[in-house]
Amino acid sequence: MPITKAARRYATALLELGKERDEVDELLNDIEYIHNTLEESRDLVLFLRSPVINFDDKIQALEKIFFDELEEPTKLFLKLLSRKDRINLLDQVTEAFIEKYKEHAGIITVEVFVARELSNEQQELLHKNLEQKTQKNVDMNITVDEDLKGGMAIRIEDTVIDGTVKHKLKELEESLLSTTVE
Amino acid sequence: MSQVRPDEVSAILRKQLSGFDDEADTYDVGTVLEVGDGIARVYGLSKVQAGELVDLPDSIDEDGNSIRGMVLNLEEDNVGVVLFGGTSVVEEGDTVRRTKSIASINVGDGLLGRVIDPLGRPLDGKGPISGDTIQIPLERKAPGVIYREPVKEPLQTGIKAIDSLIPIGRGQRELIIGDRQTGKTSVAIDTIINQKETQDTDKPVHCIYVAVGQKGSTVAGIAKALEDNDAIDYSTIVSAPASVSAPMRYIAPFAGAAIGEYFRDTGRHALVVFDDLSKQAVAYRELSLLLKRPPGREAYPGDVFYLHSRLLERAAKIIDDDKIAKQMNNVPEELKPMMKGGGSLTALPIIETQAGDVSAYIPTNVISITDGQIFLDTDLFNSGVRPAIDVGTSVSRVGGSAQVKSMKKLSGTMKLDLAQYRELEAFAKFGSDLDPATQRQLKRGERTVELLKQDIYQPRPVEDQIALLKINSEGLLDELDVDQIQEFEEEYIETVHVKYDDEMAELAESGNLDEDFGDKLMEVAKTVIDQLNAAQEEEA
Repeated sequence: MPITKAARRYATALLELGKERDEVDELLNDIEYIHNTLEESRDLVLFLRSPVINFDDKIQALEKIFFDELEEPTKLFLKLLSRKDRINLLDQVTEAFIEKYKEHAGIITVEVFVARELSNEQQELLHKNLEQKTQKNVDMNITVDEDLKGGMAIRIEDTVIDGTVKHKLKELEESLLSTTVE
Repeated sequence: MSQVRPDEVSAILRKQLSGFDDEADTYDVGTVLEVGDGIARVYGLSKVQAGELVDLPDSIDEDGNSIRGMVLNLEEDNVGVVLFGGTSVVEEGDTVRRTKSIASINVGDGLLGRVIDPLGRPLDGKGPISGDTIQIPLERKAPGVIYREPVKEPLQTGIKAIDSLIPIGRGQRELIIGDRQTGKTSVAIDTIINQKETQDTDKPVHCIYVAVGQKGSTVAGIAKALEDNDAIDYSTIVSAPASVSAPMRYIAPFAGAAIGEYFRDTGRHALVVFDDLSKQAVAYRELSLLLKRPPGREAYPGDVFYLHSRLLERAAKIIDDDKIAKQMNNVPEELKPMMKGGGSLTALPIIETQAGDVSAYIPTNVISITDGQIFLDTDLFNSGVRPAIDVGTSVSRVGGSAQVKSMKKLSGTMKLDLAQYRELEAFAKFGSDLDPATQRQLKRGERTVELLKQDIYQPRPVEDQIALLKINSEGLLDELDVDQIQEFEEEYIETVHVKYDDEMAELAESGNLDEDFGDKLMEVAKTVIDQLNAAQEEEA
């Protein structure tokens, strides 16, 4: 799901505010907490998005779910969102916020695709090498997919470095098929 | 097909495998956000270029090939991609991969005699394109001014009315415009067929026919016509019929131009027919509206003029100097070593008008871009004047300087005859009491119109045309009835060729009709006319 412009703007504003007041880490904790909850509960996302439900009801529900755990600025932010009738974007706002935070903190997420589980040493070695190559703090996200057969693919932003056996076989197939017999 | 020996197979496999590198492959990807109406919106692909080809490896069509697309819009948070077919197999979340190559086509001499689609894939079932090919981008900037030369060699269409009154030169862009069913395509096909006589000379004209948004049966008919008239061997048909997606119809003329440029830049001559550009404009409008570009007049996007101007600018006569031609702008690397001067690319764009309305948006645009137009008229067509060329409104702005000498001289008198005839025609309908001078002018006009009639697929070589026009300009045809003209033409040309074959060959070479041979031709004509008149009297 792409993040809409509105969600991005609210997220940026919240981050800027956090930086000003030096509360970024607290905010991040709260937002991650909300984000994870929303990830787990599809029902809650649908509830927030529903145009039929009044936004007063939405904020009341959110108060019951979250407000015990949250810091004051986050509570106010949620109230603002609901007053502006943007609470339907909450999942996107939290995602955008995390994205923005990572950008701010110089963290990049690297997707790693492997055919078999990596051992801890392998993970550490990969992590170290990736940080060295990218000169950034790397957050690794490992997916195990047996279809790849072997090797590894790494996706940094939009660029994929593909060294999987599956891809190589595909390339080999193409190169053999494109050969014309004279 | 001959059998491949097993050891050959293993040799080829070994060669393939030895060249196969084990390095990790790096590529850029994005994900499909939404898809519909031949357009996909893609998230990611942050480094993609406008006009770049992309591959959708997850989306496999019924033939087992992955879908390809072309990037047209680069927006703030997504990329607009037009898909070359098979929208139904593309799903949300599919991977889109950059190919890092701008949309291009493989061209080579092997394309002659073939029917291909706008991406260069053969459609005629004759197997892959043979011989060496080089990759040329579909969108290429037209040559700059210093690499060009004014039009100076004629491109004979074999159509009497065009070669005499609206002459076309090599490197010219001449628009063929008219309503549906007025014979626009026939004019173009006749021109292609007439290039057969250039094939034995040192300056053969290679032809490319681009069918955009036509009926599949029409394209098949054209391929058949070219084959029947032995014209397919030096022609290529680029087919994007009405059944293919809008992006294919949009790029088809560019593919045709790219093939033409290959001949033009290697010092040869080519003719490209765009049939028709109104349908391409419609395809482009469809894409633009789906990409949410703002609509302008008649809902065409703002750059529809540029769409046609940049295409037609690629038709050019290249300077006859290899040294300068080698420095031409925007030449693909692979083409550079083959560059030669003196080539040309002639374009015959076709535009279909609605109820004769030439002041609609697309017709006015293309009229202003081209170096003249051949206007085909429904009323003329229905009254039996075929080709239905309206010689009053048709012009050729540059072709005159490429016309052969005698033709130029003879067509001058003919133009005058026709103009006077048109002036008198309307008012001669009212009364019969006309003075002899007016009657003579009417008589001459009627016969000239009759003489310019011509059947399809019957091109006349230029020397025959000169011989015919000579007789008309001397007024000899006035002695015949109008319905005898066609018969006279046949008889006369045949006799001349029997009697003076060498002189005719010389005339074809020099294009100059000397007085001596002119008198001889008149002698022949007089004999034929007498014979025809005698035969008619006998019948009566």
